[in-house]
Amino acid sequence: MKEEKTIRQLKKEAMSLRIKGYYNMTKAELAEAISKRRMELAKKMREIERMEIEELRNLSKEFNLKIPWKSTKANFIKKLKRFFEDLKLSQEIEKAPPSISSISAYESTYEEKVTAVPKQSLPSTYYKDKLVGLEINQNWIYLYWDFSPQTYEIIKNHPRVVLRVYDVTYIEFNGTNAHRTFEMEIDEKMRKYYVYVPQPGADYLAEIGYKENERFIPILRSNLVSTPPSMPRMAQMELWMDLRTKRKFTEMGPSRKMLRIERLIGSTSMPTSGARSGGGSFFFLSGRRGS
Amino acid sequence: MKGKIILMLHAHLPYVNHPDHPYFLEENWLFEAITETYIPLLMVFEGLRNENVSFGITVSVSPPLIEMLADRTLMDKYKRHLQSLIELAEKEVSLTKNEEPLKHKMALKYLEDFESYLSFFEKYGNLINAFKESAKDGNVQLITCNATHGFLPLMRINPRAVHAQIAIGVKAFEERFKMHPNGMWLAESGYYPGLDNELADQNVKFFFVDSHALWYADIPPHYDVYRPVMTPSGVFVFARDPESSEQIWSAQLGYPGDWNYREFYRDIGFDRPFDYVRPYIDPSGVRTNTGIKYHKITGNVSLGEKELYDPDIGIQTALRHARDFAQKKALQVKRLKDQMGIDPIIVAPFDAELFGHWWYEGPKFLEFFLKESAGSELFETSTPDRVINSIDEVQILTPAQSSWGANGYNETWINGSNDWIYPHLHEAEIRMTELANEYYHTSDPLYIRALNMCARELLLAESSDWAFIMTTGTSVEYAVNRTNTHLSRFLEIYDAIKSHNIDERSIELYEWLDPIFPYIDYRVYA
Repeated sequence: MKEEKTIRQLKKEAMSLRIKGYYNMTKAELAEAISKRRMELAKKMREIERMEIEELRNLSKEFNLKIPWKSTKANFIKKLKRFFEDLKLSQEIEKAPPSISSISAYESTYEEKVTAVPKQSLPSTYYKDKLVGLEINQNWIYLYWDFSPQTYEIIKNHPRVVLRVYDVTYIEFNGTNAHRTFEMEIDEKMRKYYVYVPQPGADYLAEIGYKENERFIPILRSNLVSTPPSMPRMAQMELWMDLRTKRKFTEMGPSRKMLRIERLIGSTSMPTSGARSGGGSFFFLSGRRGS
Repeated sequence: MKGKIILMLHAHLPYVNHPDHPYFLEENWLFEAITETYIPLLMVFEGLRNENVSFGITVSVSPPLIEMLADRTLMDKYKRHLQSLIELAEKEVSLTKNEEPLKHKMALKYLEDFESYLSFFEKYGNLINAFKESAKDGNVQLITCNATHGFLPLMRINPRAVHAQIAIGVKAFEERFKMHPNGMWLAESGYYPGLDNELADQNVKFFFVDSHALWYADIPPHYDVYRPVMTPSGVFVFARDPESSEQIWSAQLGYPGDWNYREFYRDIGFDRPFDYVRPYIDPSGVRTNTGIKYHKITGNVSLGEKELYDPDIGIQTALRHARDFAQKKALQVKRLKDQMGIDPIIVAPFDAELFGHWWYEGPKFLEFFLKESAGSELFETSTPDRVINSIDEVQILTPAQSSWGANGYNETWINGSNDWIYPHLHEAEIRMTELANEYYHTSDPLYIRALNMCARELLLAESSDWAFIMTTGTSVEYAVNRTNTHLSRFLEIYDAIKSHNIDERSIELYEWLDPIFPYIDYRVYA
């Protein structure tokens, strides 16, 4: 058994191994990432003699080794080997199974790295507590969330995790005074959900928590999500400005001048006129020409 | 007094620049738009000015487009592209001598047009100068757009990121055009109450919204969408007239679908023998559009059954449509004036690339319409600046949240095909502000470069185009790659800054790959 390292030591090691996003990791994650990384590097070390000059350059660049760009292949190999030896990778060489699959990201050329980054390269979590609500249209909102490792522990240990959505239009929400409360149980693996909300032009809040007996214990609360209104307001006092004098004045609505008939919205074909006049028609045009 | 028509053309393409590749398929978006839309439109404006026609039109030139048009490497590539197009047109001229006369007539027209575009391009050196020149006498009003066309309603939870989009949108315009933009086109007309405060802070005097922004406003609009209003922060708002858009776009009545117009989808890149077109299509050997097309829409027939296009009939059709549109506008103005007792102001916004790229005869249509309008007694074409200067009173209200996307809100930019981008974008936005605060006073040049590069990567990832492309399903792979690339680079540089381990070589590489906004200052996020 190895001696326990402190999180500080682990972070330092992760930094020297150029592990991305290490400062956000928990101790267990750090240990795992470090061992994985050392395994990778051990494999690299074994293959170093067979590498192309391009790969050697990239590798030395990755570790900021300051080897002159135009150095010979032999020089690159020598210096990289010495660097790897300092990292004491020899134990990993013994442990490494003979046929670890290739680490494609590191073996790709610079050019490919730049233009074709695989989707998986973005982290699946940022290890932060977060519950975010976004309005999609007058009746739908989108919620996504993320957990810190501590919160995830709590969530995992409670059988009934719950997502709640409150209608808090015009109220100072205190946890119990919402106009309406919607609730469903969620899986600990879920990270997003589309929610139907009945009221346009309303304010919603979401919470994630767990149920203890029948009590709801909230853990995360979202930002306020306002659905856009989809109805004209009642006529009221109008506010105007005289642009010459910059003076404001009020006038009685409803309009004396305009016949207030609501416009019929529709379209002769899908997508709607909004979509057709809308942005990005450069890439996409409906098949309206029938061709 | 006359009623006013405000034509608003939104010129935008996402920032696509790959200096590390001699040829890159998606760079053709820009090249096609320059050849088919921007130069033809600018030549229309120039022609009208030479003929002393008084008109008004508004063009928003988005900052990514501004930056691409100002990029010398990219413009050199464009010039080579146009030169090779001229070479192809020359070959077509001799080839079509032995083919149908209509084809030969069209080939001659392509050659003549392309050559005139090249001399136009060379006359101004770049299109930034040409746009600037077009705006000199006030007939053309140029405005800006938010920095990288980020869709602001979905960025709203990070106010500093919204602030940066607005501030950099203004800055980019000022840097390249050497003048202040009075107006801003908000990407996808995406507006939410309060966004106008940011515009007021940047001294932006007006912006555009979709119709329902006024219909569902906090106070009903006195004159529907037919007079500009003002937000409580003092910014003027122009709302889209649904009737004008429908007249252009309607499936049954819309102009661009007329059977006499040129067919977009039938191109010699697919029709000619492979070896012949090989030098003018994708170097990988995949057939692509070349821009030379000989057929008309013809009717509801398959591509193979399309008949040959006659440019003279095409132009006559555009003239007929322009007169029809002018007549419809005159009737609409008269009707509204009777109802309102005041001159209506009708706002008709379009994607600029509709004219010329999709609708080949579009620039001619505009030219004819602007000329026709100059002779009208009922209305004139105008610009927001002129309208704002001419009105005495304005209603103050707060428009409702809205966009010009499908069904009027956000669903084009957030749905099952693209929702995965938002957790990453929002996290990057938070981290950018964190960096800007933490390193606000740094004087280390390498840190400043790294921080500025972070800001560029974030801005590029925020383009609404990527989410849009994922929704529409064409070129999805490219959009996904771009989103991933910029976000990954952002995280990489963020890590490097936080661990005090910035690699100058990789910053240099990224600066070379994405040289957008060289004048950026990351502190805009603080």
